[in-house]
Amino acid sequence: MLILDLAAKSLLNRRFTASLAILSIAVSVALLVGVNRLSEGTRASFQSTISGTDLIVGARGSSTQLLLYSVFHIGDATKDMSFAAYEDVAGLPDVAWAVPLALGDSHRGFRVVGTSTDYFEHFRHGGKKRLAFADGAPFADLFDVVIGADVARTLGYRPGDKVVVAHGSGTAAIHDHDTLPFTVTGTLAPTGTPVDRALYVPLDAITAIHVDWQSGRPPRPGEETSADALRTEELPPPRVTAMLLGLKSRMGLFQTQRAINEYEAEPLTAILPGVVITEIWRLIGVAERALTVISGFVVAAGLFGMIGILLTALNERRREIAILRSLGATPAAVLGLFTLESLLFGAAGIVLGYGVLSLASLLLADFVSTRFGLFLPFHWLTATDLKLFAAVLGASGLLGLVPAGIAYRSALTDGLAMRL
Amino acid sequence: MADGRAEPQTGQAPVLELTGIRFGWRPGGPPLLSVGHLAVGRGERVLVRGPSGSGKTTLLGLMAGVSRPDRGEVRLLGAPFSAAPAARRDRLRADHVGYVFQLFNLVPYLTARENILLALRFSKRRAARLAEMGRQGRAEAERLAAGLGLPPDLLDRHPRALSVGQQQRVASARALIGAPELILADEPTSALDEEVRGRFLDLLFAECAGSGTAAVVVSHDRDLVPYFGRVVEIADLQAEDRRAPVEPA
Repeated sequence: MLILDLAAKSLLNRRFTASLAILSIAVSVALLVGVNRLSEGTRASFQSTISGTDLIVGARGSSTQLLLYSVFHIGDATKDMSFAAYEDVAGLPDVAWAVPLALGDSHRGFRVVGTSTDYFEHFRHGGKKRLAFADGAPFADLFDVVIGADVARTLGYRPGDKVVVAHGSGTAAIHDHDTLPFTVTGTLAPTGTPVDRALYVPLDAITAIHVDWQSGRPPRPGEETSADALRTEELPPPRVTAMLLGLKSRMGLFQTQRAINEYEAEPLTAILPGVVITEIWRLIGVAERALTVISGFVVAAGLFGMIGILLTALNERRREIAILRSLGATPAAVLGLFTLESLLFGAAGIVLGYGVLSLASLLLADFVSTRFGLFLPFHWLTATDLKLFAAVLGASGLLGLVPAGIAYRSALTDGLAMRL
Repeated sequence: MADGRAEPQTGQAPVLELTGIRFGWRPGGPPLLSVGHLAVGRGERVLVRGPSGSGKTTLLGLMAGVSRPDRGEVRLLGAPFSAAPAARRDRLRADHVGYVFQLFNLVPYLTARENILLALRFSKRRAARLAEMGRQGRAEAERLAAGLGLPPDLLDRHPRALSVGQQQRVASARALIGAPELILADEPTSALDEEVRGRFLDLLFAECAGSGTAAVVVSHDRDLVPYFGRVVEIADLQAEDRRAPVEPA
């Protein structure tokens, strides 16, 4: 108790240098815990990018690719599936609902997805959250479009604005379907998933804007069919790139998957989104581990800063050691005093770092999730946190043994001699 | 904590007794320090005088039980001191010895009052002795400070806000609190002005007399001689040792 009191007063006396050391430990602790929280949040939001969908179906191909283009809007499908196949799959006995997705067009770098209003009904993300409209309503007319939150924010669109869709995506968007503009009817609330970065139009609209095209070439000017004509005309059956399936019961999952994979009319692939997402995470999770390693180094740097401060003070503290020895302090008590000081540094750093981080994640969670799509979960202490704290405290005690050991030795060898 | 041994006798035995001491053997040469016999009685004031480099600090280290002689024995209140294990020597020092350095006596991050009371916190025995006398630590710190010529309002200052003379008074109060049997002082007045020096020693010895504390001051300063009942030259201690080595009893 006496030693603790002395250690605390000694630190208080060296407020300025002590608070620098504590601050550097606090920053590294906040960083370490923050990186952990973020990667935990990233994993959670990545895993829950899509939920409530039991199977994703597309033309035969790699399951990773199918997931990437249908859910994450990364890459393109090499082949579509026929509308007949879509109808057959949707008609399988265990299927409760089916949502078609037609991909391949874009608007100023954002993907355009042709789908049905069922998409807004059945798509789930982040656990069991439904899509919500921040503004407006689902599309009703053939040339209506619903836009994701990022699209609305980046391009500044509001319901009523006109949007022209381009053929192809990204740099490959070579031709604008500029005679057939769409009208924004609704804006989706932010989800922190790729949903935010897409535009949604009716499935038939994708067919309609391509109806005049001949074998992949755009119509010559003046030959386009008018929007009004397209609204009344009988359109050919739409093409479907992929489909989301919900089953009546999970019991039929593997049976349905097998039925689709063995579909005879054309080769199809059905995947379980959760399984494939986990596979992809295993690939990109390396980056997450790299971040943890880096923040570990930052902690080490913070602790070395602390030893620096303790060692600098050590020389002038040799007098103090002689005084304490003359009062009957054992060399072990001197060792204890110095070790305790570095432990106090560590503990104060942990408390401060954790406090700042918790406050920040409480205040900034909403901002970070809508702005960066990262979802920063706020928890009280988790088991991982406690392990981290124990490691930081252990390391600060262990590293504190360096100055403490020197103090112990000079307590023994200097005796009551004052080094001035 | 008392480690189960009988506490030192406070009756007839000398407060401090050094016998046949040799310290710092070097191959071929004489030891750094040798003492034939030196005994300090209860309440006695002894000046151990010698020029710098004569082994004063070494002698004080031996008397305080921080270092041990290569030969011979130091006894404190009749009990083995140099022969005791390190932890017990530290305990005996805390309980029975007050120590005053030449300079920089105070723990810089504690107030003057906290520095004085530190002696009681390191020794339950000294705290208990104070309680037996019906005195309370804080009041006793103030009483000693006043007795040594230190105004009470200075007690809440940190050492850096005190003059050297004031610091030495605080250090003396810390050495005296709880009435230890012995005070050891290493050139306690060398940093003081001449006129302050005498007053400082007068007050210190008055307090020593009040609590029956013996004082051993080690100094090179001949001007201090009149204040002491007995003066021992380090050179004589060594010479006496060379003439007639005294075997430990």
